[in-house]
Amino acid sequence: MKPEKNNVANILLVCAAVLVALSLVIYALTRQPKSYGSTFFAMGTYINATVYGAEIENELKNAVDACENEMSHRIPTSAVALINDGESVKVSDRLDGVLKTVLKLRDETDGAFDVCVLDLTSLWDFDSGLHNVPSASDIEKALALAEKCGISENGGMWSGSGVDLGSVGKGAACDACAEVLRENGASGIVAVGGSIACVGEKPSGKWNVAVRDPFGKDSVDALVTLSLGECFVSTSGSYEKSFVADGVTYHHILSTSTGYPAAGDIVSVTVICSQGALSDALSTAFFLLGEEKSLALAKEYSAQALFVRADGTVFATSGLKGVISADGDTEIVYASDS
Amino acid sequence: MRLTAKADAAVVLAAIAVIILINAFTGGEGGKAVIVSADGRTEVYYTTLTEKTEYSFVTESGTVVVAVDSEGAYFVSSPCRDKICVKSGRVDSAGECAACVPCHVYIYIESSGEGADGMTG
Repeated sequence: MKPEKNNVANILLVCAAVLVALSLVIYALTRQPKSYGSTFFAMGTYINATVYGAEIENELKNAVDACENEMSHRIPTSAVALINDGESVKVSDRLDGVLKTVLKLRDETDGAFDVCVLDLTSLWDFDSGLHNVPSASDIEKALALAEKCGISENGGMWSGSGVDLGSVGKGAACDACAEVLRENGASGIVAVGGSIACVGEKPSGKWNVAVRDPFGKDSVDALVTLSLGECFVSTSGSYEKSFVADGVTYHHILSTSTGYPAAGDIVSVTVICSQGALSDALSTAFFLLGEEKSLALAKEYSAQALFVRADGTVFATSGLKGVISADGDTEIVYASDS
Repeated sequence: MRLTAKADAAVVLAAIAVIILINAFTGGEGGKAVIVSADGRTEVYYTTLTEKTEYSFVTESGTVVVAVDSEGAYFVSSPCRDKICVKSGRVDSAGECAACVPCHVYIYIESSGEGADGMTG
């Protein structure tokens, strides 16, 4: 064998070895942390989680179950059910925080947003699928009870209409799930029905959250997509839980002044903020308040909001500039910064 | 080591490097992953299937049929009352989902880093 040829072969071999080493380095740098997907049923909906860095499905299930077992008025042993029965109950820090949030929001919206509406929501009972329109006199009685609702100084003693935390429960469950992820040093995205927790950083960039198209042929059609960091997202839409009776469409977001589904030209409101229960509550409150009145509250809570109008246009707070991506057919109007 | 053996080794190492790089940039998977959760059981199917395949899931409420094809997945039939799941249509993009809540069956396209990670609404 000639020495020159042997040298060339040696050089080729070394180059190939270096190439393999470099490839391994690139592979290690581009490789994402292992993700764990889990799906389970709770709170009358599906919970879908993608978690990076920890396998914590059972912990997430336990967190959501704990929320439901404490906050659902349908569970006779829950704290909320006991409160509605007039008992004095020691509540968890989470429920205490939720109650404080909704009571504050009740005051700030002059009662437009209210959770003391169990008599009213029970009358309509959208979850039952019976599709009954209550009588005007029954609605009047339920509204009168809601007005009398109050909480005592030592907490827990409600009077008047019972408490229905349906407008914040899924958001509160998102808070609980986010806590589980943080405790385990994980990042991820958890969807509790239409409420979403984006926790930590996504390994490959931003969290992409699609906003359902209220006018879409299918319920999986997206109107716009939001590119987000760590946050919570909730949407209230009139297309959910609705029925038609005598040619009239009735949806589940009830006006506390009329007792009937809220009227207006808004079809859905999506809120992005730093807490799950708050994002859930604000999305309902903004739906009821309308665009103009919502802007001041959004500013107070450092929240961003996206309103889908009946004509298909989108009105969004200025903080969502550069966050929303949509196809060319969707017209987006941003609020001024003032 | 003989000359040809060294050259062969270099070719093999180069091939290994190419495979590692392809895996690094593609993730080494083909097709979209369709996650189907039925009554707590979870199955994963891939949309690399060239023909539509229907899968039956026996739940406490009855049998739910889900179809997976080359583009995505959708509910074919369900014993539920309102058939909202069947009316949901096809899920075909990452992050999209549809559910038959009464029967506890859920279909979801796993995110591959592109597309949506979740849907609100």
